[in-house]
Amino acid sequence: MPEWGRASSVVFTELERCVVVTCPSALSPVVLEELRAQTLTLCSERVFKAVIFDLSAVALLDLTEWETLRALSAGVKMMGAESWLVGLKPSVASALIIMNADIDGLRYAMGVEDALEVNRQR
Amino acid sequence: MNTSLDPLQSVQPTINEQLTREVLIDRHRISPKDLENVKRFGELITPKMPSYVEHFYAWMEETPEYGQFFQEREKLKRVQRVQGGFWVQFFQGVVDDDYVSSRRRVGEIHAHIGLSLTAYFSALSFSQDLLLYELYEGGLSVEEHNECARSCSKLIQFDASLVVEAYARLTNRRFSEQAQAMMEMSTPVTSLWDHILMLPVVGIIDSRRAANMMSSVLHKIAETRAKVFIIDIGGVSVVDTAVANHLIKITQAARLMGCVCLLSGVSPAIAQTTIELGIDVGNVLTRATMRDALEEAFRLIEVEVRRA
Repeated sequence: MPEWGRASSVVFTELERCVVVTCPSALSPVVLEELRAQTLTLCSERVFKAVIFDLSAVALLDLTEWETLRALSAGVKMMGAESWLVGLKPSVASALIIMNADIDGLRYAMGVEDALEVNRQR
Repeated sequence: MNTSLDPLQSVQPTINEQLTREVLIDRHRISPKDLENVKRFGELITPKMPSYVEHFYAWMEETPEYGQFFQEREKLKRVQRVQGGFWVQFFQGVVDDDYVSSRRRVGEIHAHIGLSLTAYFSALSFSQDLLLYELYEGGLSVEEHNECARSCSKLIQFDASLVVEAYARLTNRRFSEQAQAMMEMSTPVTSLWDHILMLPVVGIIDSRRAANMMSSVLHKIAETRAKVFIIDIGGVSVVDTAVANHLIKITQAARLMGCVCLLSGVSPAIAQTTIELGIDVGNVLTRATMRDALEEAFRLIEVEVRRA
């Protein structure tokens, strides 16, 4: 399993022509900026079927962070790859819905394997 | 008034918190002199304990609780022994941790057997009168007797506060457990098939129940890695804007976890009301019957069910 990038707290791993972006537990503005820059650079250098953001370690997510992730997902889509958000904890999912977060236009899965399974069939 | 500035607020315990022995003694203003007085009076009254027990149970026989709790002779004898021991310990004038624990235990037992606080306080009042005045046959000057009676009253109230505190704590805990059990019974998430969960909803959905449903649904999805969740609303009495919003939110939260949520049991009346209220069900998949929803669920997880 090739692992290319580990810029401070974000890990990028290639799996079956998809890139799995493992996010740290706290998504500070610095981490999000790093996430955005590295992901888009990667998508411009290589062709992927999907970018899978693994959020299973994330314990808290506010609306600003959520919107940043949405914008990043839209950027990934513009570069020709499908964007997935996976591994959201029940507490994070319910908090986002209670905060009326916009969840449309994105694909979600329980775990990385579930997203990979869908992409395998494409 | 800004409640955060209320100096009492920071020291007010909740009903479930136990105050320490030192704090309780301080609050009841029980001094070492009071404990000395209790002990001194105890030396005079402790030999009369058998008489106290006899008088007390003669009085108890006339109360409605007597028949309820003391039908068995052995049980009555045991309780009488404990009752005598309770007061012997009281008149030793030693308030240590064992003493506090024994009083709390009394409160817990009363809560456990369902003895009312009214019965407890009337018995305490009777005992106080009997021990401090009626069975007292002299040995102290009037002033000394008054002082001892005052100290004993303080310690009796100290005891009562411990009993009531323990009683309330146990009763509250029981209520919380019952409420929790009721809540769990109202959200029976069931696994229908691999990756398919179902929640039949019956009755009224309010905000609290909806929050509980959301929590149960999401945790069960995470636990079973379900791909489809069927919420059957055939038993929901009223579907108005608020209920529809609650259900939509649950389906959205399930979607965030990669699980498709299906609403089944949508009756013609519910469909009509939803349209009339202008509720936008958005991307929520709805089906009229549970059978249709299950069929759709099988299709979504690519399972084909055939007759053998």
